Amino acid sequence: MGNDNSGLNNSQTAPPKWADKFLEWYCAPHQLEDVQGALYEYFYDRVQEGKSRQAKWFFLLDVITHFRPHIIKRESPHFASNSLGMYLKTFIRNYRKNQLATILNVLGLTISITSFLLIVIWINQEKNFDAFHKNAADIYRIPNTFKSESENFSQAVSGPALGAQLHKLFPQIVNATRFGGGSGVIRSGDQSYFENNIRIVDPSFFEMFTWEALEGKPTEFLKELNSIVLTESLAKKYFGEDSALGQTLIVDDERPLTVTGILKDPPANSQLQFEAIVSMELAKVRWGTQDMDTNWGGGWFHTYLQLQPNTDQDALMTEVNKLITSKLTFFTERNMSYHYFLQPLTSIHLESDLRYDFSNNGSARNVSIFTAIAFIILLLACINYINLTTANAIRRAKEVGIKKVIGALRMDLIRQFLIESTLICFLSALLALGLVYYLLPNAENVLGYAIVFDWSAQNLLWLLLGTLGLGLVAGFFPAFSISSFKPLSVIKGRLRSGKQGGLIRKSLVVVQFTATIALIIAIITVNGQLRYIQNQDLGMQTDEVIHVSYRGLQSVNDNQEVLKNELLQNANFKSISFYRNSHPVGGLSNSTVQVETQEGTKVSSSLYNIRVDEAYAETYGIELAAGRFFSEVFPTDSTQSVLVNEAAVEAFGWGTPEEALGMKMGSAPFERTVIGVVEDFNFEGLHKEVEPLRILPIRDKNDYSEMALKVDLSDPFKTLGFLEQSWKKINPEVPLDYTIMNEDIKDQYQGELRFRSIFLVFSMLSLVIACLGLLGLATASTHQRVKEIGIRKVLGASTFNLINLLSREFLVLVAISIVLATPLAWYGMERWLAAFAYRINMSWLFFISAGCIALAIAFLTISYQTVKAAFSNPVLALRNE
Amino acid sequence: MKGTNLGEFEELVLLITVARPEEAYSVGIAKIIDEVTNRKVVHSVVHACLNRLLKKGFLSSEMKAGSNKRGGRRKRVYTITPLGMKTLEMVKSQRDQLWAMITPA
Repeated sequence: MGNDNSGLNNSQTAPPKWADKFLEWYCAPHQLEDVQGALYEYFYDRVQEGKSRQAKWFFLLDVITHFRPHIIKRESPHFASNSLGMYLKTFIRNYRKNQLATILNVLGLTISITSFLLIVIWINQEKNFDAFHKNAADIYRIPNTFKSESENFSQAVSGPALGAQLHKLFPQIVNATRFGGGSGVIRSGDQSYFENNIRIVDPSFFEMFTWEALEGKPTEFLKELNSIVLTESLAKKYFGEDSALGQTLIVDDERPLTVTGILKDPPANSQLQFEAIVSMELAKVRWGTQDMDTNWGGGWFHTYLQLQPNTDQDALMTEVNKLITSKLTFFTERNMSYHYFLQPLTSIHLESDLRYDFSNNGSARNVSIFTAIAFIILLLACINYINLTTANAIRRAKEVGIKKVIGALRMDLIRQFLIESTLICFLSALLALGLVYYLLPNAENVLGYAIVFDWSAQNLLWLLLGTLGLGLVAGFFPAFSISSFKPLSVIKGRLRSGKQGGLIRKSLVVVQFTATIALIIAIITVNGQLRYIQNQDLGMQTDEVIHVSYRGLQSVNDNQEVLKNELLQNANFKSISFYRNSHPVGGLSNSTVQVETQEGTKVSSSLYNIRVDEAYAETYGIELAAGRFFSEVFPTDSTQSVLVNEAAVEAFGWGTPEEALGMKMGSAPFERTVIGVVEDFNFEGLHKEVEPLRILPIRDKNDYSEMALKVDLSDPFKTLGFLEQSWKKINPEVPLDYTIMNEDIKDQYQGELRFRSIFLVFSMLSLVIACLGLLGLATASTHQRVKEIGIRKVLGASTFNLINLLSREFLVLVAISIVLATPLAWYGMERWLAAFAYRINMSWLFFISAGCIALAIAFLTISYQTVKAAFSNPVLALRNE
Repeated sequence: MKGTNLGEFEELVLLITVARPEEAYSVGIAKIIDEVTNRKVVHSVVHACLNRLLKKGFLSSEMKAGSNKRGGRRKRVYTITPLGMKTLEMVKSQRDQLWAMITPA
């Protein structure tokens, strides 16, 4: 097309200028190049065909026919700064300019996300207890409810024959194992310790449950009678870094056992905790019991069954109960019965609270309490973000106005603010993750057991989604409210404190403080209840009693008198009592017995047992309500006498303690006469009322297994030193294992004390978050009122007036919160207290003091800002307009 | 967005962008319509149609250098999107189905 160029440059053949100008005028700029080019192309086509004149007319015609909406219509305004980079830039600039609000926001969110994560991780562990066993879904524990004429109770343990026989009798039951507790002295070379976590199981224990074996074959662990399986940590304790497999341990100074396997320590989320395992066969030999596989009554072991999938449990249990009832004619004849039921393995940890249940069991109630707290804390942080952002919106109003003027759409601004809130949340989540990583290993110190977090991609993805959600929720309201500013009023400066957001902001502060005050009331109540429990008179002397358990070792029993004489020579030792498994702090045994009624008939009943010597009442400071305690003066005591407590007198309808004397208990030839009634003393902790108890004397000195010493502990080192010294002299082979009774009792409330400390921590955190928010709001509010304060000062307002003016609006909100929080906290804490048999009542003092604390903290929080504003020089505030 | 149905003219334009990608700009398409159907089309009508197809998401576009005849101006060149392709195929299969129902006389 060589001649094109000449044609183009020739004005003769150029399109008419004015038509071209008209096109350029009406055509939308973004279309112009294409449309104009197209028309030129047509024009020059025609010129090429030699129709220059026509071409001009056609060009004009084309220009006119293109005068159509789709070509005229301008592109919708496109805001130039919509890129992520631009958002980031304004984000960083803004937050640099307003550092206080940023720090408060990030701090609040970090604290709350950390708390939330910690709680969620803990809850997750609680809810997934025991789920790690491959057969978890098919394993059940089989506890029972015992009924007699005078009482009934449910216990976690079952008769020993169930675990030995059920799976042989019912095809639906694939496998069964018993799980029993034991303790003893384990010796290796010159090291010997008391071990409390020796468990007795059936070999199927290793098939039903999933344990990680480090050495040895699980199927052969308990093949030989004299076998013992150790956990990794116990093996380390005795053998250090040497391999423990095949080594020999001496149990109770008589029986050598071979280590046949090493297991990894059971995980923290396992209800079955153990350090060493021996076989049921060995227990039979050691205890000399004949009926371990045939006795269907009583409560000996936790028994676990593995069922076929999809077993009809109701039908199975009907059959099982029918069988057991038929085996227990002795009980049935005396109107007593055991009714067995099934508990799914994975539900036991949170839902089961039976007699003789595991002490590491959790509580569904605490899980829901902490779920609530986790969400409250998150809510508080969201509210903080909303309040701080909207309160500071005035600073960003100009930015919004300008952006709107240069063509930003509302969606652009909403997107911008949502991105900012999400960024803040991600920053906080990142910090929180670091904190969690650092704090988790320390959780064991507070909780008493480890929490483990699975740092898997899936969990981190959840965190990512959660953070995104949090960012959107927190940013939603500020984004919509700030983006709604009208550019004109912003630039004219007509927009003042953002009145429309004021009410919402205030309501949110009220929500925050309501939650916080409710938590403060809860702390006060929990504290009060725990102090009450710990100072409650238990009906016995606890602060000067030392408890020594020697597990009935023969060598110690042989030296009883020697030890007693040696110790009593020292004036610090006042009384010594020997007894069998009767330390009155949790875990007494119980048995069934025939009891005479006032009418002379006999009913069956069940009571707790204490088997003791004559010094028991004196040593523990137990008072008599009527009659006398056992005495060497009456040799017949050992076979014919019994004591009961007041609760038993009431349960059997014997009238007054005096009237109870002389009543009969037990059936011939083991019938005994009540010779005394002791005042109720609390042997089960204060969750439960005192239950019926009988006190039996021990005939044979060889039956004793523990001892208690009443001592003077004013110089504990001297007293305990003398005890250790004497013990070593007389029983050199046996380690001394003693506890001070007060500590034992404290241990009973471990759960509550732990609950208190965790509760305290999280409540304080929520208070901190709420205060951060309040501080931010006070800052924004005084900042907006700088001029007003200046003018008031000039007109003669005093500093006090101003502080009053600035504080009042916040303190009113806190006062409203107090009113709202009171009934909420009252309801919640009444429910919490209901779980205690001995409890305090909620007093008005709790609510008033919580209110005062909240008001004081709120006032202190905002006072920095208000005082600063009140003292500021009015000239500085008013000089610039 | 308006419906995603294709008008007869739109279908034609869309087909040409696929069949003759090197001519897939407004003037080129108008010329091909002229050649194939013997129909005189006004450029602004083609242009409007292309705009509509862009909005419906059947086409995407890009500015590319044009010939000298355009006075150095670039031209907007169109390419079909996967959505546009799918729609075209759907229209064809609907037609084919109907044709298959016609018993040959």
